[in-house]
Amino acid sequence: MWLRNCWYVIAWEHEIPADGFVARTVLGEPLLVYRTAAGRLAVLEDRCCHRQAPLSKGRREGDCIRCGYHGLKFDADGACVEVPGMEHPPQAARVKTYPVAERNKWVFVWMGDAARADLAMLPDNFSCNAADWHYQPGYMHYETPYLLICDNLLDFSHLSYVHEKTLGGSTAIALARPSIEAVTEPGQRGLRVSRHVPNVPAPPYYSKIKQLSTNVDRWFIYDFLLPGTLLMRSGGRPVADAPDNLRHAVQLHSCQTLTPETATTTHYFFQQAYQADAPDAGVTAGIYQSLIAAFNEDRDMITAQQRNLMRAPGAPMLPLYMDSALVQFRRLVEAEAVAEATAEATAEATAEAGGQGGG
Amino acid sequence: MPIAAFNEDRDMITAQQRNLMSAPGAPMLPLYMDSALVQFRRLVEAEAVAEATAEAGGQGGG
Repeated sequence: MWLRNCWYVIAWEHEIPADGFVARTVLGEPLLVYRTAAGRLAVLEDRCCHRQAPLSKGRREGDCIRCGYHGLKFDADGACVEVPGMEHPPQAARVKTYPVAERNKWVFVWMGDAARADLAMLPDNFSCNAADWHYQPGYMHYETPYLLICDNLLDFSHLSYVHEKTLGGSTAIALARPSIEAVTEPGQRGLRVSRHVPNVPAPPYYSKIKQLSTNVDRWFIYDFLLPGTLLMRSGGRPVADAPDNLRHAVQLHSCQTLTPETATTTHYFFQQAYQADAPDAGVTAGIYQSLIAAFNEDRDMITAQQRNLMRAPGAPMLPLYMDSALVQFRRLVEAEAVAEATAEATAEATAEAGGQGGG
Repeated sequence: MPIAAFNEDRDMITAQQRNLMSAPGAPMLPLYMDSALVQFRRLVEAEAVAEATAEAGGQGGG
């Protein structure tokens, strides 16, 4: 189950070459994304309209893509501008294009009704592109449905156990119950999860950022937004410091987003940024390495979970208190998916009635 | 020498087949260069229909 009328990240900005393209599947549709000489992004369906060959097997020619099978050439609007051996390409020769947007180093594609593409629905991934936030961008591929990874990100009690030696460092994280509220910012739909963990040892990876000699009060405050984006402030402050004194605190901001590749595979784009006047290459690399180590732990666990789910589809799960946020998020996805399907059915019925009335 | 070219064909046709499988029934746009392949596919179809008809007729006679 996934939503169509929303933005999905298809690539980090730096992945898109000046000359060339990136081929990536989103919601089961093969896509090709590239940037014209003028800097405009284009997303084309990676299928030649002639015989469905992937355009990504062809090549860039200026601002156009030439199919590598029979040489049809398409511009950034999807129009066929050349059929070798024909004077004029037929009007019907077009490939599908998708609305595309770029914000703070993330490149987004709109997979639903193009008329409804709305920039107000882009998430505020500010720390991906801010002078005082520094990070190394990450990407990971999952052989599991995206909702299992949403589940993981909506329940940080797993930090205590999956990430005992990396991000966690204390079983107290699992014991601290988060508060869960609805996100009410315009254009955004999702949950705000806030978890405060008092008086715990700093996790091992904090030492890459700051030397802390005492226990810390930790916090994780994040929005988890449809279709699958996490925006999180987290950090830790020495227990002796007043709550508003962040001079000795570790402060982090993380942007992570999940894009279904197919019903059973997922693209994962992420970063963990730290605040500092200037970047420190050692700190940046250290945080990235810790994050990758932890995300490999997640992927190992979730992939193993998926194998069990596939072996016995429909085997019951036992809902526990820590599932509250993920259950609410899954309900949100389901409600939106039903709303999309209903709207589509209504539109089709209207079009049919209109056609009959007119005929 | 032809192996290199035939590998190029197989790469392209296999990629085409992946696209066809991911969206069964997606339309193709017939162009002038498809003339021979369209005629050949019609020939295959006509013969296949004739075989099926003959087989059905044979069963009827038995």
